[in-house]
Amino acid sequence: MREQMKSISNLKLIVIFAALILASAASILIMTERRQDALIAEIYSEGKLLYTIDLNKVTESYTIELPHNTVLVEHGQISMKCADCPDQVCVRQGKIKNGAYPIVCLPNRVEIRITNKAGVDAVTGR
Amino acid sequence: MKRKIIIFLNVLLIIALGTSCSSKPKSVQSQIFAMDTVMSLTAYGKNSDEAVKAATGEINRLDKMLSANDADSEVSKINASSGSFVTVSGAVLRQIAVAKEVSDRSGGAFDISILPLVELWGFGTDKAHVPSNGEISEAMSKLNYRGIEATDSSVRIPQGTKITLAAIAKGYTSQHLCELFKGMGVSSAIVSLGGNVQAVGVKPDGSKWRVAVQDPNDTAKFLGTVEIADLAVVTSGGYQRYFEENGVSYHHILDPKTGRPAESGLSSVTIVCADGTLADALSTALFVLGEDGAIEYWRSYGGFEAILVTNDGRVVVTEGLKSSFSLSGSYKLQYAGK
Repeated sequence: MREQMKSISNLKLIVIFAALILASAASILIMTERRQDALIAEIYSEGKLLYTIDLNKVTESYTIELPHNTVLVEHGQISMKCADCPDQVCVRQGKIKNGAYPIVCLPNRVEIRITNKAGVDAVTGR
Repeated sequence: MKRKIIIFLNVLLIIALGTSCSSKPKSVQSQIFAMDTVMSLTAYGKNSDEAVKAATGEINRLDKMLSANDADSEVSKINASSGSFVTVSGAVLRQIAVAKEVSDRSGGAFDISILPLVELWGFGTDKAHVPSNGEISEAMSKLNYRGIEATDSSVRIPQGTKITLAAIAKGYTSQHLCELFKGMGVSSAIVSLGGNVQAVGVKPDGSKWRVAVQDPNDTAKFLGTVEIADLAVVTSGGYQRYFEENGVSYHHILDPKTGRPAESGLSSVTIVCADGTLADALSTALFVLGEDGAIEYWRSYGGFEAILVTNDGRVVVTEGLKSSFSLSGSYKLQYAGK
């Protein structure tokens, strides 16, 4: 009887041990995620830089209204919500999260570009 | 024995978890549209929630107070009552005091009474165009920064003049926000108000903030980064706002002496300074002054450091930034000494 009790208590301890390991792992994961580098999106109209936005700092989504285009700004991603161009290529491209392919609305000359700049906390100069 | 080991390990883990949890810095971020640009605020530590909320309220309050486009703003009231004293807030008084100092020291390269000229050119509107020489002369006759008077509660501008605080308002706002953060017990924060950057303290891990400076010739790139603690970093450059007419580019930083976009040989000026209001005014003034005038101003008055990008491909950095600025890219780096 005593032997059985001992092994059950041992089991409980091992379970607690495992749970604590998991909790530590989780907290390490959460802590490292905090350190997010800047994810800078730039919006150009007629070749002129209008806005520079750090997408990793966006807490609530919002839109930017340009004369012929609407840009949707979200945490970690950006997209052309709507445009009055005939082909709608820019709208159909959907959301971008990195600098691989910028979103371009050729007829209205609007461009959304992401520059992944690691290790930078802010950008001056717009 | 096995039991004791397992218990011991559990206790160790609990201690480790406990300490790791408490060292995780709480961060609060906010992004809003104001003063015609995107503003982002990040604060760390306890009180950061209330601090960011309060800061957002302050941005909206200051926007309404300072906008020359808003008929109810204090700036509009000053302009509508030119020739008479108008009671104004401390915020306006502070900006006017800094503006007067920079105007006097730069020989008029900075001039907040430049509004008639800015409106004539139409920058930022769809009526932007190159005015005639006659129109420019007429607008220039209305400039008079020397005639701006201030008491400790009111301001009077000469009859017929109009002022704009657009070249200094964001810097004042970033300074005000950082003071607000400190007052609320936040010791680590950074704000970027349309590219006017200012930080409180250092990052939660103790390292300095890294602020990248845009390359004026390719805004997708950075020409370098500067590491700061408790400082403001502000850049002015023609590449930020301009229009084209008949294939020629006209940028928005007007030279009060010519009434036209400043052609000083500089592509951009970045100021690093403990005071955001001063940094903002200086970035415009030194851009108009050009390389020699800017370095002379720095040698004469100090209180800031500067990064000048010249049209002939050089980056001139004042020597106080030697240990905190690092160049990236193909510019030729030079240091300016006292």
